[in-house]
Amino acid sequence: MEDAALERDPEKCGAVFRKTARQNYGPPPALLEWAVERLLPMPARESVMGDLREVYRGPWQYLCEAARTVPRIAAGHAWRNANLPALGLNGALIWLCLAGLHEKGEGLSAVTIAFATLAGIAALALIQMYGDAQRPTGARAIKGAIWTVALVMLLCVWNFGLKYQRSGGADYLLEFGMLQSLPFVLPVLGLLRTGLLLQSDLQAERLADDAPPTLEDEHRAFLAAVRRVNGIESAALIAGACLLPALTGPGLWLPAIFLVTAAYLLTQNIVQPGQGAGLHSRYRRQLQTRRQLRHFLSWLWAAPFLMAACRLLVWPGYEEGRAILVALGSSAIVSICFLARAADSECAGLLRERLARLDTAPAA
Amino acid sequence: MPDQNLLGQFEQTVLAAVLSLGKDAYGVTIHARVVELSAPRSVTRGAVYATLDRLEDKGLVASWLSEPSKERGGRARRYYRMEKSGEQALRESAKAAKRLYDTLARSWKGLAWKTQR
Repeated sequence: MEDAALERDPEKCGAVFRKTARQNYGPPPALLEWAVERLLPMPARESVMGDLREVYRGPWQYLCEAARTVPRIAAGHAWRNANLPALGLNGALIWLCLAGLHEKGEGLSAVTIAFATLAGIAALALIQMYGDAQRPTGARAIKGAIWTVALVMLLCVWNFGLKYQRSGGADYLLEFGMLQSLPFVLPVLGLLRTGLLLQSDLQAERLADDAPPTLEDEHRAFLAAVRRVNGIESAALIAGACLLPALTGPGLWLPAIFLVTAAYLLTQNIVQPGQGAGLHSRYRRQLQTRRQLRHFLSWLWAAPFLMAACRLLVWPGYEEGRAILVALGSSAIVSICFLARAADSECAGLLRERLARLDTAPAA
Repeated sequence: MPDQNLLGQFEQTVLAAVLSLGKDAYGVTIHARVVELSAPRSVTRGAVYATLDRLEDKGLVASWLSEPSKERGGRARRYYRMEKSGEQALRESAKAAKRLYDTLARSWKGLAWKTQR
């Protein structure tokens, strides 16, 4: 009753409201707060979690309040910030990869591929909504490389174990070659990851040093940079589409995705979305959609190399029984995936830092 | 082409709350003020956040994060401020409401209601 009166009395808004509300109630249970925080999209966490804590009256009230708040916020964020063309292109890429497996006789039907593609798109949308896109520290980046290689080695051991049980033993030394090659990949991955990290640090420093004095100038500089990168990247994509058959085989799907992406990037240079919105909001949304587009582009550039590794090394290795080819191909795939992921996280981290700067500065 | 600054009823209420709260407009206070303005209808916090996001997309309000505070578990508040276009849109809505009121007052000969406080 007292709470309702407190909420309904406009004079008690602000400082009095906060003081009274926080006096008699402790903080929410940590586990409950942790669970609610995980359900909120990243950009809303800071302010909404603070608000929920401020109006905390008890665990049950907190839970009810969260149940009434979180779904609306999550749905709103998913709708407002989704880059639908980028998600569609991502879907096409997932379809292509799964269809490639289908051609190799892995037993995936068209319906399964369609469902898996939809699940992949949904998962990507969720990752983009809930994922914490922070640039890792140097130590964390190197640990990431170590963990990746360790995990793949573990999978190799597990796979060989099964194989020996089935076949009753094959050329152990050849199979073991695959395991031996992976530790040599580790320093290369560590070195490349460190290079990426240093490059982004330099870029972040340059951005901070050359930061334009006003938001309008910063936004204009951002748009100019996006246009420049889009122009260069679309030209590279068109050139790549022409050269792809030599690398990935005669299929037309990947060149088609390259060309559609190039066309999309060029249209982005002509049409800027949300012209009527406020600058702050428009800039924020452009940063978020840019982040999703870069995520897709990182994997699009990796796709031909992954396909080439499969086509030229892994499949012939399996067919001819040459473990060294399988080992080289697998190492190449691990390295390409690791680097695509690393490039994506660096880019997403830089964009997030820009978003954070935008959030802390009051709109002009 | 629909005017994107045309406000729905709930958007008007939220904008009015932001305007009336001035420098103290953030999630908790805006919700409390919207509850007051919308009484006896109940309003969820989620609806207020969703509307604030939409108003920000339309460029009618601007937001920024404050410094983190201890009472919020080290989290910042997102403060809102009305933009000039928001003020303009709210004025248009108020004028429309006034026209409606005048029409009803003329038709019903001396329409008056008591405000409940």
